[in-house]
Amino acid sequence: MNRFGQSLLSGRMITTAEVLAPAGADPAALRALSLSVPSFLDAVIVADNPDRIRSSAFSAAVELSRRKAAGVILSMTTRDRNRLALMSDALGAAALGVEGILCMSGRHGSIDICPEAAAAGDFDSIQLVQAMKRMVLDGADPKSKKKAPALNLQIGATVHPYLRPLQLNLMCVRKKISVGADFLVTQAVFDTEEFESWMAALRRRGLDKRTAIIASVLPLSSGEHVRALQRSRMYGPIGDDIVDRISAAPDPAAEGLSIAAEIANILRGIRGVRGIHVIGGGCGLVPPEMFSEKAGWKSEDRGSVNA
Amino acid sequence: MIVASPKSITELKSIIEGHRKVLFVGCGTCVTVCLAGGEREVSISSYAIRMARRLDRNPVEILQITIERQCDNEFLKELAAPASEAEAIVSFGCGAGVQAIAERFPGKPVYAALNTQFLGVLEQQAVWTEKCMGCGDCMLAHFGGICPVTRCAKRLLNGPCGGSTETRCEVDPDRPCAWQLIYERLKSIGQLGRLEEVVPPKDWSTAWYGGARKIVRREHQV
Ligand code: SF4
Ligand code: SF4
Repeated sequence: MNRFGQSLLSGRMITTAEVLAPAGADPAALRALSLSVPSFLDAVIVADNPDRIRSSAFSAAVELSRRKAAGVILSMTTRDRNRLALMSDALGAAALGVEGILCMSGRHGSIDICPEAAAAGDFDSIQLVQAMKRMVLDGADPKSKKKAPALNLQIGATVHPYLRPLQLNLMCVRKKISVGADFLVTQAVFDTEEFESWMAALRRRGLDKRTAIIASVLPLSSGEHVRALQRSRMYGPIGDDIVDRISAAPDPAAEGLSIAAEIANILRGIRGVRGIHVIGGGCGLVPPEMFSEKAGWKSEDRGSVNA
Repeated sequence: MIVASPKSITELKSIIEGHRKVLFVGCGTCVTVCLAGGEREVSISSYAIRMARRLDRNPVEILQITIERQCDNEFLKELAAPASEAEAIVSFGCGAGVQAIAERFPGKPVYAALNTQFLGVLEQQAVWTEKCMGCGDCMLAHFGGICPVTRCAKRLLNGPCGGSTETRCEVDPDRPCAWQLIYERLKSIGQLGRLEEVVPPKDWSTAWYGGARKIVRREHQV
Protein backbone atom coordinates (compact mmCIF):
# COMPACT_ATOMS: atom_id res chain seq x y z
CA MET A 1 0.00 0.00 0.00
CA ASN A 2 1.26 3.51 -0.79
CA ARG A 3 2.01 6.19 1.81
CA PHE A 4 -1.28 7.98 1.45
CA GLY A 5 -3.13 4.69 1.89
CA GLN A 6 -1.17 4.07 5.07
CA SER A 7 -2.00 7.58 6.30
CA LEU A 8 -5.69 6.89 5.69
CA LEU A 9 -5.47 3.65 7.63
CA SER A 10 -3.38 5.06 10.47
CA GLY A 11 -6.39 6.64 12.13
CA ARG A 12 -4.46 9.82 12.97
CA MET A 13 -5.57 13.24 11.76
CA ILE A 14 -4.14 13.84 8.30
CA THR A 15 -3.42 17.06 6.44
CA THR A 16 -3.63 17.65 2.71
CA ALA A 17 -3.44 20.76 0.56
CA GLU A 18 -4.65 21.70 -2.89
CA VAL A 19 -2.19 22.41 -5.69
CA LEU A 20 -3.06 24.35 -8.83
CA ALA A 21 -0.86 23.70 -11.84
CA PRO A 22 0.63 26.86 -13.42
CA ALA A 23 -1.33 28.41 -16.26
CA GLY A 24 1.63 28.52 -18.66
CA ALA A 25 4.26 26.13 -19.98
CA ASP A 26 7.17 27.45 -17.93
CA PRO A 27 9.06 24.43 -16.57
CA ALA A 28 10.55 26.61 -13.82
CA ALA A 29 7.06 27.40 -12.46
CA LEU A 30 6.21 23.72 -12.21
CA ARG A 31 9.53 22.97 -10.53
CA ALA A 32 9.14 25.84 -8.08
CA LEU A 33 5.68 24.58 -7.18
CA SER A 34 6.96 21.10 -6.47
CA LEU A 35 9.79 22.45 -4.33
CA SER A 36 7.42 24.53 -2.21
CA VAL A 37 5.40 21.60 -0.86
CA PRO A 38 5.82 21.43 2.94
CA SER A 39 7.16 18.05 3.99
CA PHE A 40 4.63 17.55 6.80
CA LEU A 41 1.70 17.25 4.40
CA ASP A 42 0.31 13.75 3.97
CA ALA A 43 -0.66 14.57 0.42
CA VAL A 44 -1.29 17.30 -2.08
CA ILE A 45 -4.38 17.17 -4.27
CA VAL A 46 -3.76 18.55 -7.76
CA ALA A 47 -6.87 20.32 -9.08
CA ASP A 48 -8.10 19.62 -12.62
CA ASN A 49 -8.60 22.95 -14.43
CA PRO A 50 -10.98 24.26 -11.76
CA ASP A 51 -11.02 27.82 -13.03
CA ARG A 52 -9.32 28.07 -16.44
CA ILE A 53 -7.12 26.13 -18.84
CA ARG A 54 -3.93 25.33 -16.96
CA SER A 55 -0.94 23.17 -17.58
CA SER A 56 -2.38 19.68 -17.10
CA ALA A 57 -3.05 18.37 -13.62
CA PHE A 58 -1.59 15.06 -14.79
CA SER A 59 1.80 16.58 -15.62
CA ALA A 60 1.91 18.55 -12.36
CA ALA A 61 0.99 15.41 -10.40
CA VAL A 62 3.77 13.44 -12.05
CA GLU A 63 6.33 16.19 -11.44
CA LEU A 64 5.27 16.43 -7.79
CA SER A 65 5.46 12.64 -7.38
CA ARG A 66 8.99 12.66 -8.75
CA ARG A 67 10.04 15.08 -6.00
CA LYS A 68 8.41 12.84 -3.37
CA ALA A 69 7.70 15.79 -1.06
CA ALA A 70 4.27 14.40 -0.19
CA GLY A 71 1.83 11.85 -1.51
CA VAL A 72 0.17 13.10 -4.68
CA ILE A 73 -3.51 12.79 -5.47
CA LEU A 74 -4.70 13.65 -8.96
CA SER A 75 -8.17 15.19 -9.33
CA MET A 76 -10.07 14.10 -12.39
CA THR A 77 -13.29 15.64 -13.59
CA THR A 78 -15.79 13.84 -15.78
CA ARG A 79 -16.28 17.18 -17.51
CA ASP A 80 -13.24 17.09 -19.76
CA ARG A 81 -12.51 13.41 -20.28
CA ASN A 82 -14.47 10.45 -21.51
CA ARG A 83 -13.92 6.98 -20.08
CA LEU A 84 -11.00 6.23 -22.41
CA ALA A 85 -9.08 9.28 -21.25
CA LEU A 86 -10.02 8.87 -17.58
CA MET A 87 -8.95 5.26 -17.39
CA SER A 88 -5.75 5.65 -19.39
CA ASP A 89 -4.68 8.71 -17.39
CA ALA A 90 -5.29 6.79 -14.16
CA LEU A 91 -3.14 3.90 -15.39
CA GLY A 92 -0.32 6.25 -16.38
CA ALA A 93 -0.61 8.18 -13.13
CA ALA A 94 -0.42 4.99 -11.06
CA ALA A 95 2.62 3.82 -13.03
CA LEU A 96 4.39 7.14 -12.40
CA GLY A 97 3.89 7.21 -8.64
CA VAL A 98 0.64 9.14 -8.13
CA GLU A 99 -1.00 7.74 -4.99
CA GLY A 100 -4.65 8.58 -5.40
CA ILE A 101 -7.39 9.81 -7.70
CA LEU A 102 -10.05 12.27 -6.56
CA CYS A 103 -13.12 11.72 -8.74
CA MET A 104 -15.46 14.62 -9.37
CA SER A 105 -17.92 15.98 -11.89
CA GLY A 106 -16.13 19.36 -11.81
CA ARG A 107 -17.45 22.87 -11.94
CA HIS A 108 -19.48 23.34 -15.08
CA GLY A 109 -17.40 24.69 -17.96
CA SER A 110 -20.00 27.33 -18.81
CA ILE A 111 -19.29 29.15 -15.53
CA ASP A 112 -16.36 31.39 -16.44
CA ILE A 113 -14.13 28.50 -17.51
CA CYS A 114 -14.72 27.80 -21.19
CA PRO A 115 -18.38 28.28 -22.20
CA GLU A 116 -17.68 27.28 -25.83
CA ALA A 117 -16.30 23.83 -24.98
CA ALA A 118 -18.31 20.62 -25.41
CA ALA A 119 -18.36 18.70 -22.14
CA ALA A 120 -17.47 15.00 -22.10
CA GLY A 121 -20.12 13.88 -19.56
CA ASP A 122 -19.51 10.22 -20.39
CA PHE A 123 -19.17 9.01 -16.78
CA ASP A 124 -20.49 10.73 -13.68
CA SER A 125 -18.33 10.95 -10.56
CA ILE A 126 -19.89 7.88 -8.92
CA GLN A 127 -19.38 5.81 -12.04
CA LEU A 128 -15.79 7.07 -12.12
CA VAL A 129 -15.16 5.96 -8.53
CA GLN A 130 -16.64 2.58 -9.39
CA ALA A 131 -14.49 2.18 -12.54
CA MET A 132 -11.34 3.24 -10.67
CA LYS A 133 -12.02 0.86 -7.78
CA ARG A 134 -12.52 -1.98 -10.24
CA MET A 135 -9.10 -1.26 -11.74
CA VAL A 136 -7.59 -1.12 -8.26
CA LEU A 137 -9.15 -4.40 -7.17
CA ASP A 138 -9.26 -6.43 -10.38
CA GLY A 139 -6.33 -5.07 -12.34
CA ALA A 140 -5.99 -2.74 -15.24
CA ASP A 141 -7.86 -4.70 -17.85
CA PRO A 142 -11.11 -6.18 -16.54
CA LYS A 143 -11.84 -7.69 -19.96
CA SER A 144 -8.60 -9.66 -20.09
CA LYS A 145 -8.65 -13.29 -18.84
CA LYS A 146 -5.09 -12.91 -17.59
CA LYS A 147 -5.11 -11.31 -14.18
CA ALA A 148 -3.36 -7.96 -14.60
CA PRO A 149 -1.60 -6.46 -11.60
CA ALA A 150 -3.91 -4.36 -9.45
CA LEU A 151 -3.32 -0.63 -9.23
CA ASN A 152 -1.86 0.95 -6.15
CA LEU A 153 -4.23 3.92 -5.92
CA GLN A 154 -6.48 5.36 -3.24
CA ILE A 155 -9.78 6.47 -4.73
CA GLY A 156 -11.69 9.44 -3.37
CA ALA A 157 -14.71 11.57 -4.18
CA THR A 158 -16.12 14.91 -3.08
CA VAL A 159 -19.08 15.43 -0.75
CA HIS A 160 -21.12 18.52 0.01
CA PRO A 161 -22.19 19.06 3.62
CA TYR A 162 -24.57 21.88 2.70
CA LEU A 163 -26.44 20.12 -0.09
CA ARG A 164 -30.12 19.84 0.83
CA PRO A 165 -32.50 18.07 1.28
CA LEU A 166 -30.50 15.96 3.72
CA GLN A 167 -32.03 12.72 2.47
CA LEU A 168 -30.69 13.42 -1.03
CA ASN A 169 -27.33 14.44 0.43
CA LEU A 170 -27.00 11.21 2.42
CA MET A 171 -27.97 9.19 -0.64
CA CYS A 172 -24.97 10.69 -2.48
CA VAL A 173 -22.61 9.94 0.42
CA ARG A 174 -23.92 6.37 0.73
CA LYS A 175 -23.52 5.75 -2.98
CA LYS A 176 -19.96 7.05 -3.03
CA ILE A 177 -19.11 4.78 -0.11
CA SER A 178 -20.93 1.80 -1.60
CA VAL A 179 -18.86 1.96 -4.80
CA GLY A 180 -15.73 1.95 -2.67
CA ALA A 181 -14.50 5.52 -2.04
CA ASP A 182 -11.50 5.28 0.30
CA PHE A 183 -11.80 8.93 1.23
CA LEU A 184 -14.31 11.75 0.82
CA VAL A 185 -13.21 15.38 0.63
CA THR A 186 -15.80 18.01 1.56
CA GLN A 187 -16.34 21.38 -0.06
CA ALA A 188 -14.87 24.26 1.98
CA VAL A 189 -16.46 24.65 5.40
CA PHE A 190 -17.28 28.07 6.79
CA ASP A 191 -20.41 27.26 8.78
CA THR A 192 -19.17 24.74 11.34
CA GLU A 193 -22.54 24.28 13.12
CA GLU A 194 -24.25 23.15 9.96
CA PHE A 195 -21.26 20.96 9.19
CA GLU A 196 -21.50 19.33 12.60
CA SER A 197 -25.18 18.55 12.09
CA TRP A 198 -24.31 16.89 8.75
CA MET A 199 -21.51 14.88 10.40
CA ALA A 200 -23.93 13.83 13.14
CA ALA A 201 -26.28 12.51 10.46
CA LEU A 202 -23.38 10.56 8.94
CA ARG A 203 -22.34 9.18 12.34
CA ARG A 204 -25.87 8.04 13.17
CA ARG A 205 -25.74 5.89 10.05
CA GLY A 206 -22.18 4.69 10.70
CA LEU A 207 -20.99 6.26 7.44
CA ASP A 208 -17.95 7.91 9.06
CA LYS A 209 -16.61 4.45 9.91
CA ARG A 210 -16.75 3.22 6.32
CA THR A 211 -14.54 5.86 4.71
CA ALA A 212 -12.21 8.72 5.70
CA ILE A 213 -13.97 12.09 5.77
CA ILE A 214 -11.54 14.91 5.05
CA ALA A 215 -13.00 18.35 5.77
CA SER A 216 -11.80 21.33 3.74
CA VAL A 217 -10.93 24.84 4.79
CA LEU A 218 -10.21 27.76 2.49
CA PRO A 219 -8.22 30.81 3.58
CA LEU A 220 -10.07 33.90 2.37
CA SER A 221 -7.86 36.66 1.07
CA SER A 222 -10.09 39.74 0.81
CA GLY A 223 -13.62 41.04 0.87
CA GLU A 224 -13.72 40.70 -2.91
CA HIS A 225 -12.66 37.06 -2.59
CA VAL A 226 -15.56 36.43 -0.18
CA ARG A 227 -18.05 38.03 -2.54
CA ALA A 228 -16.72 36.03 -5.51
CA LEU A 229 -17.12 32.79 -3.55
CA GLN A 230 -20.63 33.75 -2.47
CA ARG A 231 -21.55 34.45 -6.08
CA SER A 232 -20.02 31.21 -7.33
CA ARG A 233 -22.04 29.10 -4.82
CA MET A 234 -19.24 26.56 -4.92
CA TYR A 235 -19.08 26.34 -1.16
CA GLY A 236 -21.50 26.48 1.70
CA PRO A 237 -22.76 29.68 3.28
CA ILE A 238 -20.17 32.19 4.51
CA GLY A 239 -21.57 33.86 7.63
CA ASP A 240 -21.71 37.61 8.29
CA ASP A 241 -19.29 37.25 11.21
CA ILE A 242 -16.61 36.00 8.81
CA VAL A 243 -17.41 38.65 6.21
CA ASP A 244 -17.18 41.35 8.89
CA ARG A 245 -13.85 40.08 10.20
CA ILE A 246 -12.28 40.01 6.73
CA SER A 247 -13.64 43.44 5.81
CA ALA A 248 -12.47 45.07 9.06
CA ALA A 249 -9.01 43.47 9.18
CA PRO A 250 -5.97 45.67 8.43
CA ASP A 251 -4.40 42.65 6.72
CA PRO A 252 -7.33 40.67 5.27
CA ALA A 253 -5.15 37.83 3.95
CA ALA A 254 -3.59 37.22 7.38
CA GLU A 255 -7.06 37.34 8.93
CA GLY A 256 -8.21 34.81 6.33
CA LEU A 257 -5.43 32.45 7.36
CA SER A 258 -6.36 32.81 11.05
CA ILE A 259 -10.04 32.14 10.32
CA ALA A 260 -9.14 29.05 8.29
CA ALA A 261 -6.90 27.79 11.10
CA GLU A 262 -9.69 28.37 13.66
CA ILE A 263 -12.18 26.49 11.49
CA ALA A 264 -9.63 23.67 11.05
CA ASN A 265 -9.29 23.45 14.85
CA ILE A 266 -13.05 23.18 15.29
CA LEU A 267 -13.29 20.57 12.53
CA ARG A 268 -10.54 18.44 14.09
CA GLY A 269 -12.63 18.27 17.24
CA ILE A 270 -15.70 16.91 15.41
CA ARG A 271 -16.08 13.17 15.74
CA GLY A 272 -15.69 11.38 12.42
CA VAL A 273 -13.45 13.99 10.77
CA ARG A 274 -10.26 12.19 9.74
CA GLY A 275 -8.34 14.98 8.15
CA ILE A 276 -8.13 18.57 7.02
CA HIS A 277 -7.70 19.63 3.42
CA VAL A 278 -6.60 23.18 2.73
CA ILE A 279 -7.90 24.66 -0.51
CA GLY A 280 -5.64 27.25 -2.10
CA GLY A 281 -8.43 29.50 -3.29
CA GLY A 282 -6.67 30.33 -6.55
CA CYS A 283 -3.00 30.19 -5.44
CA GLY A 284 -0.59 27.60 -6.81
CA LEU A 285 -0.26 26.23 -3.32
CA VAL A 286 -1.64 27.45 -0.02
CA PRO A 287 0.80 30.04 1.36
CA PRO A 288 3.16 28.35 3.87
CA GLU A 289 2.08 30.90 6.54
CA MET A 290 -1.20 28.98 6.57
CA PHE A 291 0.48 26.30 8.59
CA SER A 292 2.36 28.60 10.95
CA GLU A 293 1.70 28.73 14.67
CA LYS A 294 1.00 32.45 14.27
CA ALA A 295 -2.02 31.54 12.15
CA GLY A 296 -3.19 29.26 14.95
CA TRP A 297 -1.98 25.99 13.41
CA LYS A 298 -0.51 23.91 16.23
CA SER A 299 2.58 21.92 15.38
CA GLU A 300 0.94 18.67 16.50
CA ASP A 301 -1.75 19.26 13.86
CA ARG A 302 0.75 19.17 11.07
CA GLY A 303 0.34 15.52 10.31
CA SER A 304 2.93 12.84 9.71
CA VAL A 305 5.96 14.69 11.06
CA ASN A 306 4.46 14.60 14.52
CA ALA A 307 2.55 11.36 14.17
CA MET B 1 -41.90 18.49 -30.64
CA ILE B 2 -38.82 19.92 -32.32
CA VAL B 3 -38.25 23.46 -31.11
CA ALA B 4 -36.41 25.99 -33.24
CA SER B 5 -35.89 29.73 -33.29
CA PRO B 6 -35.54 32.07 -36.26
CA LYS B 7 -32.17 33.33 -37.43
CA SER B 8 -31.91 37.12 -37.41
CA ILE B 9 -33.02 38.95 -40.52
CA THR B 10 -29.45 40.27 -40.85
CA GLU B 11 -28.02 36.76 -40.95
CA LEU B 12 -30.69 35.46 -43.30
CA LYS B 13 -30.17 38.43 -45.58
CA SER B 14 -26.44 37.80 -45.80
CA ILE B 15 -26.99 34.08 -46.47
CA ILE B 16 -29.04 34.80 -49.61
CA GLU B 17 -27.19 37.93 -50.64
CA GLY B 18 -26.17 36.67 -54.08
CA HIS B 19 -29.62 35.46 -55.18
CA ARG B 20 -32.31 37.45 -56.98
CA LYS B 21 -35.23 35.02 -56.87
CA VAL B 22 -35.67 32.82 -53.83
CA LEU B 23 -38.32 30.38 -52.60
CA PHE B 24 -39.14 30.57 -48.86
CA VAL B 25 -40.65 27.30 -47.61
CA GLY B 26 -42.51 27.08 -44.29
CA CYS B 27 -43.31 23.85 -42.46
CA GLY B 28 -46.76 23.23 -40.99
CA THR B 29 -45.75 20.91 -38.15
CA CYS B 30 -43.39 21.46 -35.15
CA VAL B 31 -41.97 24.82 -36.21
CA THR B 32 -45.42 26.23 -36.84
CA VAL B 33 -46.45 25.29 -33.30
CA CYS B 34 -43.29 26.84 -31.83
CA LEU B 35 -43.86 30.04 -33.82
CA ALA B 36 -40.58 29.85 -35.74
CA GLY B 37 -41.20 28.60 -39.27
CA GLY B 38 -44.89 28.45 -40.17
CA GLU B 39 -46.83 30.41 -42.78
CA ARG B 40 -46.93 33.52 -40.59
CA GLU B 41 -43.16 33.61 -39.93
CA VAL B 42 -42.38 32.98 -43.63
CA SER B 43 -44.55 35.90 -44.58
CA ILE B 44 -43.03 38.27 -41.99
CA SER B 45 -39.45 37.32 -42.95
CA SER B 46 -40.18 37.68 -46.67
CA TYR B 47 -41.50 41.16 -46.11
CA ALA B 48 -38.52 42.19 -43.98
CA ILE B 49 -35.93 40.79 -46.40
CA ARG B 50 -37.66 42.37 -49.40
CA MET B 51 -37.67 45.76 -47.68
CA ALA B 52 -34.04 45.48 -46.63
CA ARG B 53 -32.93 44.50 -50.12
CA ARG B 54 -34.89 47.36 -51.65
CA LEU B 55 -33.12 49.79 -49.32
CA ASP B 56 -29.81 48.26 -50.46
CA ARG B 57 -30.88 48.87 -54.08
CA ASN B 58 -30.51 45.16 -54.67
CA PRO B 59 -34.13 43.95 -54.89
CA VAL B 60 -35.04 40.30 -54.50
CA GLU B 61 -38.13 38.39 -55.57
CA ILE B 62 -39.38 36.01 -52.91
CA LEU B 63 -41.90 33.21 -53.56
CA GLN B 64 -43.63 31.72 -50.51
CA ILE B 65 -45.17 28.37 -49.76
CA THR B 66 -45.84 26.41 -46.58
CA ILE B 67 -46.19 22.63 -46.76
CA GLU B 68 -47.53 20.19 -44.18
CA ARG B 69 -44.20 18.52 -43.28
CA GLN B 70 -40.77 19.10 -44.83
CA CYS B 71 -39.37 15.89 -43.37
CA ASP B 72 -41.82 13.78 -45.38
CA ASN B 73 -41.13 13.16 -49.05
CA GLU B 74 -44.84 12.91 -49.75
CA PHE B 75 -45.33 16.63 -49.08
CA LEU B 76 -42.12 17.76 -50.82
CA LYS B 77 -43.73 16.99 -54.19
CA GLU B 78 -45.65 20.25 -53.86
CA LEU B 79 -42.36 22.16 -54.08
CA ALA B 80 -41.42 20.97 -57.58
CA ALA B 81 -43.15 23.74 -59.52
CA PRO B 82 -42.21 26.79 -57.39
CA ALA B 83 -38.67 25.44 -56.89
CA SER B 84 -38.10 25.27 -60.61
CA GLU B 85 -38.74 29.03 -60.83
CA ALA B 86 -36.32 30.02 -58.03
CA GLU B 87 -32.52 30.26 -57.95
CA ALA B 88 -32.39 29.06 -54.36
CA ILE B 89 -34.59 27.73 -51.55
CA VAL B 90 -34.74 28.90 -47.94
CA SER B 91 -36.27 26.30 -45.64
CA PHE B 92 -38.08 27.39 -42.48
CA GLY B 93 -38.18 23.77 -41.33
CA CYS B 94 -35.96 22.15 -38.72
CA GLY B 95 -32.51 20.89 -39.73
CA ALA B 96 -34.09 17.66 -40.95
CA GLY B 97 -36.51 19.54 -43.19
CA VAL B 98 -33.73 21.63 -44.73
CA GLN B 99 -31.73 18.50 -45.55
CA ALA B 100 -34.74 16.65 -46.92
CA ILE B 101 -35.37 19.50 -49.36
CA ALA B 102 -31.68 19.64 -50.33
CA GLU B 103 -31.74 15.92 -51.13
CA ARG B 104 -34.87 16.34 -53.18
CA PHE B 105 -33.41 19.21 -55.27
CA PRO B 106 -29.81 18.23 -56.00
CA GLY B 107 -29.00 21.14 -58.30
CA LYS B 108 -30.42 23.89 -56.14
CA PRO B 109 -28.84 25.79 -53.20
CA VAL B 110 -30.91 25.22 -50.03
CA TYR B 111 -30.40 27.31 -46.88
CA ALA B 112 -31.67 27.14 -43.29
CA ALA B 113 -33.70 30.06 -41.92
CA LEU B 114 -33.93 28.64 -38.39
CA ASN B 115 -31.60 27.52 -35.63
CA THR B 116 -32.93 24.12 -34.64
CA GLN B 117 -32.67 23.82 -30.88
CA PHE B 118 -34.12 20.80 -29.14
CA LEU B 119 -36.87 18.28 -28.43
CA GLY B 120 -39.07 19.99 -25.93
CA VAL B 121 -42.41 21.18 -24.70
CA LEU B 122 -44.33 24.43 -24.46
CA GLU B 123 -43.90 25.32 -20.79
CA GLN B 124 -46.06 28.44 -20.80
CA GLN B 125 -47.03 30.93 -23.48
CA ALA B 126 -43.97 31.54 -25.70
CA VAL B 127 -41.63 29.57 -23.39
CA TRP B 128 -40.24 26.22 -24.50
CA THR B 129 -37.94 23.91 -22.55
CA GLU B 130 -35.77 21.00 -23.57
CA LYS B 131 -36.72 17.54 -22.33
CA CYS B 132 -35.01 14.87 -24.45
CA MET B 133 -31.74 14.43 -26.34
CA GLY B 134 -32.86 11.33 -28.20
CA CYS B 135 -30.19 9.11 -26.64
CA GLY B 136 -31.67 5.97 -28.16
CA ASP B 137 -31.99 4.03 -24.88
CA CYS B 138 -34.59 5.71 -22.71
CA MET B 139 -33.84 5.56 -18.99
CA LEU B 140 -36.82 7.59 -17.74
CA ALA B 141 -38.14 4.65 -15.70
CA HIS B 142 -35.17 5.01 -13.31
CA PHE B 143 -35.74 8.68 -12.72
CA GLY B 144 -39.43 9.11 -12.16
CA GLY B 145 -39.93 10.35 -15.70
CA ILE B 146 -37.44 13.25 -15.48
CA CYS B 147 -34.45 12.96 -17.79
CA PRO B 148 -31.06 13.71 -16.20
CA VAL B 149 -29.30 12.94 -19.50
CA THR B 150 -30.91 16.06 -20.93
CA ARG B 151 -31.89 18.18 -17.95
CA CYS B 152 -28.88 17.84 -15.64
CA ALA B 153 -26.27 20.22 -17.06
CA LYS B 154 -23.53 17.73 -16.11
CA ARG B 155 -25.49 14.68 -17.25
CA LEU B 156 -25.14 13.04 -13.82
CA LEU B 157 -27.01 9.74 -13.51
CA ASN B 158 -26.42 9.05 -9.82
CA GLY B 159 -27.40 12.18 -7.95
CA PRO B 160 -26.82 15.93 -7.83
CA CYS B 161 -23.53 17.81 -7.97
CA GLY B 162 -22.30 20.06 -5.19
CA GLY B 163 -23.70 23.16 -6.87
CA SER B 164 -27.30 21.95 -6.64
CA THR B 165 -29.77 23.90 -4.52
CA GLU B 166 -33.43 23.31 -3.84
CA THR B 167 -34.30 26.17 -6.14
CA ARG B 168 -31.80 26.15 -8.97
CA CYS B 169 -29.11 24.49 -11.05
CA GLU B 170 -25.50 25.58 -10.53
CA VAL B 171 -25.31 26.65 -14.15
CA ASP B 172 -28.38 28.85 -14.51
CA PRO B 173 -30.51 30.69 -11.94
CA ASP B 174 -33.54 30.26 -14.21
CA ARG B 175 -33.34 26.51 -14.38
CA PRO B 176 -34.33 24.04 -11.67
CA CYS B 177 -31.80 21.35 -10.72
CA ALA B 178 -32.95 18.16 -12.46
CA TRP B 179 -31.90 16.09 -9.45
CA GLN B 180 -34.06 18.07 -7.06
CA LEU B 181 -36.98 17.46 -9.44
CA ILE B 182 -36.15 13.74 -9.65
CA TYR B 183 -35.98 13.52 -5.86
CA GLU B 184 -39.37 15.23 -5.40
CA ARG B 185 -40.96 13.16 -8.13
CA LEU B 186 -39.66 9.81 -6.83
CA LYS B 187 -40.86 10.81 -3.36
CA SER B 188 -44.31 11.63 -4.65
CA ILE B 189 -44.68 8.31 -6.50
CA GLY B 190 -43.31 6.26 -3.61
CA GLN B 191 -40.12 5.20 -5.42
CA LEU B 192 -37.39 6.93 -3.39
CA GLY B 193 -35.67 3.53 -3.12
CA ARG B 194 -34.55 3.96 -6.71
CA LEU B 195 -32.16 6.66 -5.54
CA GLU B 196 -30.02 4.03 -3.84
CA GLU B 197 -29.40 2.07 -7.05
CA VAL B 198 -26.02 2.79 -8.62
CA VAL B 199 -26.78 3.52 -12.26
CA PRO B 200 -23.92 2.02 -14.33
CA PRO B 201 -22.12 4.05 -17.00
CA LYS B 202 -24.48 4.68 -19.87
CA ASP B 203 -23.91 2.81 -23.12
CA TRP B 204 -23.73 5.73 -25.51
CA SER B 205 -23.49 3.51 -28.58
CA THR B 206 -27.24 3.98 -29.11
CA ALA B 207 -26.81 7.77 -29.08
CA TRP B 208 -25.34 10.06 -31.69
CA TYR B 209 -21.71 9.32 -30.84
CA GLY B 210 -21.48 6.52 -33.39
CA GLY B 211 -22.52 8.95 -36.11
CA ALA B 212 -25.95 9.61 -37.63
CA ARG B 213 -28.41 6.83 -36.79
CA LYS B 214 -30.83 4.93 -38.98
CA ILE B 215 -33.92 2.93 -38.07
CA VAL B 216 -35.22 0.16 -40.29
CA ARG B 217 -38.48 -1.51 -39.18
CA ARG B 218 -39.01 -4.42 -41.49
CA GLU B 219 -42.49 -5.17 -40.20
CA HIS B 220 -43.65 -1.88 -41.67
CA GLN B 221 -41.93 -2.27 -45.03
CA VAL B 222 -44.10 -3.34 -47.95
S1 SF4 C 1 -33.21 8.98 -21.41
FE1 SF4 C 1 -32.69 9.37 -23.58
S2 SF4 C 1 -34.56 8.97 -24.73
FE2 SF4 C 1 -35.17 9.12 -22.57
S3 SF4 C 1 -35.78 11.26 -22.29
FE3 SF4 C 1 -33.61 11.14 -21.78
S4 SF4 C 1 -32.48 11.58 -23.66
FE4 SF4 C 1 -34.62 11.15 -24.22
S1 SF4 D 1 -27.19 21.67 -10.18
FE1 SF4 D 1 -28.42 19.84 -10.60
S2 SF4 D 1 -29.00 19.96 -12.76
FE2 SF4 D 1 -27.38 21.46 -12.43
S3 SF4 D 1 -25.50 20.35 -12.96
FE3 SF4 D 1 -25.75 20.08 -10.76
S4 SF4 D 1 -26.92 18.20 -10.50
FE4 SF4 D 1 -27.09 18.79 -12.66
